[in-house]
Amino acid sequence: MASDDESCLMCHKMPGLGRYAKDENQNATKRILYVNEALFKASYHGRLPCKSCHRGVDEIPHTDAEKVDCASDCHIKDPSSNSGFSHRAIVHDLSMSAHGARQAKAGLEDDLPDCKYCHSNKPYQRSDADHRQSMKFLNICLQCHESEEWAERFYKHISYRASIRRSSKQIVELCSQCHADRVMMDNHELDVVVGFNDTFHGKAIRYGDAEVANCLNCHAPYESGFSPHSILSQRQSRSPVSGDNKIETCRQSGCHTGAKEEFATSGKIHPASFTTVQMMRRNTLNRPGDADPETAFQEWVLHMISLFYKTLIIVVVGGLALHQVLDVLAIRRERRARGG
Amino acid sequence: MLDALKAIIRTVYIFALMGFTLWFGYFLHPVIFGMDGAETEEDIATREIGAFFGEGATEEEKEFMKSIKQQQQTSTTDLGYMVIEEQYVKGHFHHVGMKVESDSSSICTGCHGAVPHDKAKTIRAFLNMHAFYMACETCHVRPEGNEPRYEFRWYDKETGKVVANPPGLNTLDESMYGNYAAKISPGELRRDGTFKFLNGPKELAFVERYLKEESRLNDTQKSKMKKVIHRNVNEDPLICDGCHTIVDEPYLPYTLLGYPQRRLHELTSTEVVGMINKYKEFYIPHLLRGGGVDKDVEAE
Ligand code: HEC
Ligand code: HEC
Ligand code: HEC
Ligand code: HEC
Ligand code: HEC
Ligand code: HEC
Ligand code: HEC
Ligand code: HEC
Repeated sequence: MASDDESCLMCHKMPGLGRYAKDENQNATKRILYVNEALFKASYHGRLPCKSCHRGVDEIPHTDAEKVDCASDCHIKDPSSNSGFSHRAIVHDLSMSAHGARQAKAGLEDDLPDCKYCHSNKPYQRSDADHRQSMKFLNICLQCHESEEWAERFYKHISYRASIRRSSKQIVELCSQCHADRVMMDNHELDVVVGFNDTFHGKAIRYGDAEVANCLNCHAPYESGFSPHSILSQRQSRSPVSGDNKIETCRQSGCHTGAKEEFATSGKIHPASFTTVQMMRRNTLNRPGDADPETAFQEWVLHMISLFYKTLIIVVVGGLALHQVLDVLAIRRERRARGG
Repeated sequence: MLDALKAIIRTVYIFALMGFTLWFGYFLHPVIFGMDGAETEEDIATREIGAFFGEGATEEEKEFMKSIKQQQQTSTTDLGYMVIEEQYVKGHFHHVGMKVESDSSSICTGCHGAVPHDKAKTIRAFLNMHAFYMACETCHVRPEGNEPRYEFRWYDKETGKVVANPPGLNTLDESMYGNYAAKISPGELRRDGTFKFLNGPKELAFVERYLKEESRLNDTQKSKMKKVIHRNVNEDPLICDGCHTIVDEPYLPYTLLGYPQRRLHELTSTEVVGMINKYKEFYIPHLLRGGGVDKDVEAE
């Protein structure tokens, strides 16, 4: 019970503990003060005392509770260096990234994702859908380490990171919550990323392909030293999607290894959805209405080709189906004529 | 013989090909038609607002629809070995891990909601917590003068019927506490041995009827009806000490309701009582007017 020597859970384990909090505009938000003990213990932070994140909280009632700050020291040691552990570095990365308040348009900081927008206190996933397989490996640890609880904890700690933590679908869903929100992106003068699902990457992801690139593989590849917290604007020269870096990004980790220079410069990565012309906001400073005639023509040609193929497919597949139906009817009639 | 075989092969071939065509069409459809034309969340929201309020929805109406949608939203977290499904609350960090059954047989929640307490700043969260496994009447309706004590039973949140004591009460798994899909509520034992809750289906039907007709009543009528609904709501609801002190005859018959001795000791332990006493230092009771009389009406 390392996490509850402070007996916070005496009250916080009870479901229903909560209230509505009103802000200045009288908008009520639900505040659930209940913490599911079992899920908390199984989570990444399950071994931390509540107070290592919730500073203050010495008074009852909690008039002294401070806001949780992910950059504060959490009183555990990093075993690799024996120094105090905290997420300070990540907080710093995020503040310097495209999602940092410093980089964003002033006055619109509320639109930016903070740590808990992208992270909940999730319990560890088993690395393996097959539980028994996991257990077999855990038994290996238990050959040498005595405590099962301890071994399981570290086993999960490592195996969780060794597998894919979020599926590509989940990443696309996460980023699209904001980047497919037309109003929000308009406010930031960015293009709304709605065409992604029409690309081959998007379609493969929809079929559950885990190999294909999702938003993060292009915008923050771990291979080149980026992380989800250091996403940069394409206008920053260090960005993996700016100018010359693009081709390296395409070539990374066995993807388009043989790609030529032109591969990254021809065509649009985020295609238009035919209703608005995309990817020409901050870099060209054009509004969608006044796209230059050349681009508009290109869009029109693309649209026509797509329409042609769609029609063709409907006619061919439909014709095939119709042919089959007629064929069956013919057999029946033939048989009836013969038998009857 | 050969002819029959031929016919069979032919039929099998044709059906297989038909099946293949359908499957191919189904499989290829998303590849070719992609997502374009598919509604975004925003489109859906706009359409629903339009359907509800007609074309010119005001900003407030849009906000209202948004908040309703958020109430209904659930989040699912797939952990590989289990799926957590819970109400979605934006930016909520710790997992709730369960879906909350709504109490469809309470006569009060239709107007006050399931999280009704707000005024007493220090204890409101505790009051709401108790309302999760206790009917409002448990604290808000008390026998007056020398009326006999109430009896208490558990009722099913969905059906409103008396149910057996929840097995969850006896578990050592603390994360099960309070989460019974049932609530404690007062009532009386009839001569024939059956149990009748203070507020049952009859009262619920009355409230539902009232809410339907409300717009057609004038203020005096409304105020009268609310008085009827609140007729036995006490101005002085039961607070913490009422249940969390060691007495011979506690307000709630814990043993009868299925609480094991161990839990009884916990509920009256120095830990809980000490904490409650600290809260009491800061708690200034509001004088509830009960009766639900609207302020403007009262002023007349
Ligand atoms: C890893 C750090 C961490 C630990 C450990 C932790 N919490 Fe939290 N907790 C958070 C964060 C972050 C939030 C979200 C705060 C916010 O919304 O500003 C939160 C929110 C909460 C809330 C809701 C607060 C509100 O106002 O909505 C409660 C209650 C809570 N935690 C209780 C606990 C309890 C009890 C424990 C110990 C069992 C615990 N926490 C352990 C980080 C932590
Ligand atoms: C909570 C909303 C939100 C989420 C979630 C979000 N973003 Fe952003 N993102 C923004 C906002 C707002 C900006 C614009 C900041 C500004 O004004 O410069 C931005 C900027 C960016 C930029 C820089 C654009 C440019 O060229 O300036 C990239 C790239 C980006 N986000 C990618 C992502 C990826 C990838 C994800 C998913 C891991 C993601 N975002 C998740 C809100 C979000
Ligand atoms: C735009 C969304 C986003 C924001 C904002 C964000 N993260 Fe992350 N973070 C991710 C993603 C995606 C990963 C990759 C691992 C995963 O999928 O969980 C990750 C990984 C991590 C990891 C490693 C997790 C592990 O299990 O290996 C830590 C620690 C972390 N983030 C902390 C933070 C902190 C602290 C903040 C706030 C300063 C923050 N994150 C803000 C998206 C985000
Ligand atoms: C052959 C015996 C053996 C097996 C099998 C084994 N370990 Fe260890 N482990 C050790 C020894 C000995 C140490 C300490 C020596 C050292 O620090 O190099 C150690 C150290 C560790 C540490 C670092 C502890 C610390 O605080 O420094 C972790 C974590 C760990 N093991 C986890 C695991 C896990 C998880 C498994 C199963 C996948 C496993 N071990 C399997 C023998 C073993
Ligand atoms: C195949 C790689 C790739 C993937 C996958 C990808 N992007 Fe991009 N993204 C790019 C490139 C390259 C650019 C720069 C613009 C260009 O060259 O067309 C860009 C530009 C952007 C911009 C900047 C727009 C602006 O107006 O400046 C945002 C925002 C963005 N992407 C978000 C996303 C999101 C969200 C996803 C996932 C749904 C995603 N990207 C997936 C490669 C990718
Ligand atoms: C028809 C809707 C309705 C129903 C049903 C209803 N109430 Fe009320 N209640 C009200 C209104 C309206 C008020 C007056 C609020 C005010 O004056 O601020 C009120 C006031 C109250 C108050 C006094 C609050 C104060 O600050 O003065 C209490 C206590 C109360 N109700 C409890 C209950 C209980 C317990 C039930 C179920 C037995 C219940 N109510 C059923 C509408 C309702
Ligand atoms: C644990 C006992 C308890 C339960 C159960 C309970 N209440 Fe209360 N309620 C109180 C107390 C005590 C107060 C007085 C708080 C104060 O001093 O303001 C109160 C106050 C109220 C008020 C006054 C307004 C406010 O914001 O505080 C309303 C309305 C109310 N309760 C409705 C309900 C409803 C509806 C339910 C059922 C869903 C319910 N209560 C269940 C004890 C309880
Ligand atoms: C009508 C009786 C009643 C009243 C009034 C009441 N409680 Fe309780 N309380 C209970 C019962 C019954 C439980 C046990 C619920 C369960 O686990 O099933 C409980 C549980 C608790 C717990 C959890 C303790 C544990 O060990 O699980 C706390 C804390 C608590 N109450 C505090 C309060 C406070 C503070 C107040 C005053 C605002 C209060 N109670 C008023 C009956 C009451």
